Parts: sequence; C-alpha cells; structure tokens
Amino acid sequence: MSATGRRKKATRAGGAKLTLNAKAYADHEIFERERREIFAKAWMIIGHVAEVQKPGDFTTGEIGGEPVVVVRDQDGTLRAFSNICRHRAARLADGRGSCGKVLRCPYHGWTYRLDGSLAAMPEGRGFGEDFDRDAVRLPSFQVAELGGLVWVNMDADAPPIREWFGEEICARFESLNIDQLVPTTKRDWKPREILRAIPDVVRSRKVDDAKALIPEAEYDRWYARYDHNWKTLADNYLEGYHVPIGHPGLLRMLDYPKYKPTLYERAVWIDGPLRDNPSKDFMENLYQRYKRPMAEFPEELEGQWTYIHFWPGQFIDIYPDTIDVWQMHPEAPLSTKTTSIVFRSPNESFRDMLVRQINYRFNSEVMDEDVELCDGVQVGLGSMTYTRGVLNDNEAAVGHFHDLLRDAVPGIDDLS
Amino acid sequence: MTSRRFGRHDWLGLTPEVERFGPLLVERIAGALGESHDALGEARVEGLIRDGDAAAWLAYLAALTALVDRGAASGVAEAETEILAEILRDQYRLAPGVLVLSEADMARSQHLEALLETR
Repeated sequence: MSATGRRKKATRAGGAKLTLNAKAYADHEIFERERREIFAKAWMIIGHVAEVQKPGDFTTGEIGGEPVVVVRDQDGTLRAFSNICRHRAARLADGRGSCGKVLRCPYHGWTYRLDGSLAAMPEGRGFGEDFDRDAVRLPSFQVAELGGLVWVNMDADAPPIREWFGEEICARFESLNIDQLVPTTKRDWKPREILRAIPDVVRSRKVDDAKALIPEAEYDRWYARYDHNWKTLADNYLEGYHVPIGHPGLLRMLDYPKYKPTLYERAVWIDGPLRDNPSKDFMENLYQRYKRPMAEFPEELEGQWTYIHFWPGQFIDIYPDTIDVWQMHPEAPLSTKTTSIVFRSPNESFRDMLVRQINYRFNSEVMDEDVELCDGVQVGLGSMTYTRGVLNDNEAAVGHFHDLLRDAVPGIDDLS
Repeated sequence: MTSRRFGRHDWLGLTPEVERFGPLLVERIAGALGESHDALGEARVEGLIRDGDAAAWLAYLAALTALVDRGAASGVAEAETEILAEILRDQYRLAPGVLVLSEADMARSQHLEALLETR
C-alpha cells in the first residue's frame, strides 16, 4: 500500500474524514518543525509590486518568523534576502521605502550591495587582517511576482511559484488585477512635532510649508495577534459549515447553499455568492444598494464574496469593493501574529469609500465572532477528553489542509 | 452552557438544509399529490431568510409537516416524503437550541419521530 493510501485509511471514521490530532495544535516540537518544514519551504507574500517598482525600492516582511527584505536592484532585478545583518543580527531594513544603492545596517553601519554582498563596514581593519569580507553575503531567496504581489520562497530547491500552486489557480488569481489596485495607506501623525512647526509655518505664510506638516501616506500593514495556534485560525477560515450557526446574520446576505470550495494542490478557491434580494437590515441594505464593483474588478465575481487560501497560512478576502490579503505568522504554539494588506481602487470615490467602510464593519463583527469561537476551540483542543473530530462535506477544505499538513510534517498525526 | 437569550438571528442557522433540499422535495411531493407547490417553494424560503423571524420559520415547518402527512397518507413520492420528514425531524431536534417551541410544535416533533420510527 502506498503512503497516500495508508494516510487515507488512517484518517477516516466510517464515511467521515477525521481531523488532525488535537495535540498538533499546542506541541512545541511540531511548531518548530512547521516553521522549518512548512513556512521556510513555501511561497509567501511579502508585499505589493508597487512597493518595489524602482531601483532601490525595498519592502520587508517575514516568513514563519524569519525577517525578509525584497529590493529592486540597479538593473531592475527583484532580489530577496534575509533581513538580518551578518555582523550582530540587527534588522537591516524596516517597513518600505527606498534604500538607494545599498542596504545599510542601522546598528553598526555594515553596508551591503543590492546583490547581497558586503560592500564595506566601518572600522574594517578592526576585524583583523584575515577576516574575509568577500565571503560575507546576505542569504538570498527565490523571489517572484504573481497577481500583483511579491512572493518569496526561502527554499532554493522549491519549484517555481506557478508550478508550486498550479497554473489554473495562478491564472484565476491574476484575473483579480491586484497589480492595478493600491494598498490602503496610513499617515503617521506626530502631534508634538506638528505643534512645534506651526509658528514657523504661520511666519512663512507658504502653502508648501503648511502641506509639509501633513505626513506622507505610506502603504501599510495592519497587525493583530491572537492567542491561538495558527492552524486553529486557518481551520476556521477554511470552512463555511459554521457560518449559519456562528454568523447567522450573514445568511441574509450570503447565499449559503451555493457556498462552494474548489480544492487545488496547494490552494483553495471559495465562492460565496451573495443573495440578489434586498436585506431588511438597514446597514446590509445600504451596502447592497450602494456597492459598486471596483473598475478593476473581474465581472464574473461581482455578485459574490470570494475567498482564497494559499498554503500554508495566506488568505485573500475578495469583495467587489476591496481585497484583503491576510497572512499568518506563527510566533509560538499558542500565539499567531497576522498582517493584512488592504487594497482598494486607485479611483475610489467617497461613496465607494463609505461602502468599503460598511463592509469593513460587517467583517470586523464576523472576525470578533470567529475569535470568540476559536478561543473555545483552542481550549477544547487541549482537553484530556478530546483527540480528534470528524469533518462534514462542507469542511472539505479543512480536510485538504490537514492532508497537506500530514504530508509536510510526517508524524504530526501520531502524537500521544 | 450559560443561560442566554436567543439571538435575533440565531434561528437562521436552521435554514441551510431546508433551503438546499426543501424546494425540490416540496415540488416532487406536491406534484405527486396534484397540489400547487408555490406557497411552500423556493420563493417562500428565500423570503423567510430575507424578512422572516423565528415564528414565521416555525409556521413554515408546520406547513411542511402537513405536506409530509399528506404524502405519507397517500403513499405517493415515498422516498421524497421520507427525506423531507427526516429533515423536518432534525429541524425540531435542533430548534430548542435557537428558539422556544410551542406545545403544538413539540407535538409535531413527536409526530415526525413516530412517523419515521415506523418506517
């Protein structure tokens, strides 16, 4: 019998598929193996292509806790490196921006060329004559652009991204035109500095000086931290079976019987059609009446909410008015940091912005409900009386996710 | 479980299985009985999900139970009648988690249990 055959036999009870062993949701050794064997070998989203358009532009992110920097070099080639200085492990680059022609460590000034080689370090003679500075390089990783996003894989032996996820899901993802959208921005207001500058602006009476008080908007990430294992959050995202019970109000908008996941090798595409009829709830009705798909949005998805999961912990919420790229970064067995990049149309009107805010309100409520549910699940998974559960047809994507985990981390299901 | 009041939308959690299978079963059973199925079909379910409440849902379940009774009595569309009866039995078993059943609803529930036990 093949390994796959054994796995299938061991993971079914009667006709129902079994969930992963509950111990895998809190075990320290499994957590470390997941970082090394799953996250460090997967294609992971780091940012938007607009963040690294010009030579010297850089953006940063992380892969399973490993800091990564992506930079466009002087020849226009996109490169990805470990974002850790080889001297004393300081973070090299922070956030997004332009680094010019070199990456310079903010701690002791070690300076790297954009091909990752060490250009020089301050007081270089102090490291001794035999120190081989030419041998010092930032570890480099595979990098690719797909669907308007920049992806990195730390594993040099990993297949190219289109082969890894499969051509069909890549083509569907590209049809979303995220490359034409802009990430929502945040302004970093510093009230004390602004107050201090006001007298000078008043004296100068120049409009440009006044404008300079408004901080530049930056493409930003929205961070959150949850006291759950990353798989608990992923399981919850991947199934619609809990929607009628956990989020009953959503049924007035979502045509639940038509909610349908399509499984790909390392991805899931979930169609969540919206009902045509107007809701009697005021806010839902407002959303239904005034929502207008972004000009860049694919026509065939206009009447639905769509969700994509890219293995291992990347989730894309696709609404006609906004697209939210949500990623998980496991920090410990029971701690998961998440980052969101929220995209909107560059031509968004005031009305579109209001509709997007209403949508944000709905989905924030749903998220709050999910967090409460996951709180209970996480406690339950640690119970002496629970080992594993069974999956409904509507939880097929969870079963698929668990099979990928079983393949990636052999023994994950055998804990006692 | 803490004692809690039922949420305004909780009853909606009952609707998916009925929405998924109900209209087709109603069409087949009512068709076999020579009745119109308009009043119990897809539009009714969608209307309830959009504008209804727990009481209206229970009234709908009662109407479906009556259809099951007519189907069972006449012996037509046996398979469809049995499936609809099973779905309704589960509705009444699930309902106490999200709403309060009246005496009449509990009687319907027991009636469906008995009907399916004899099969």
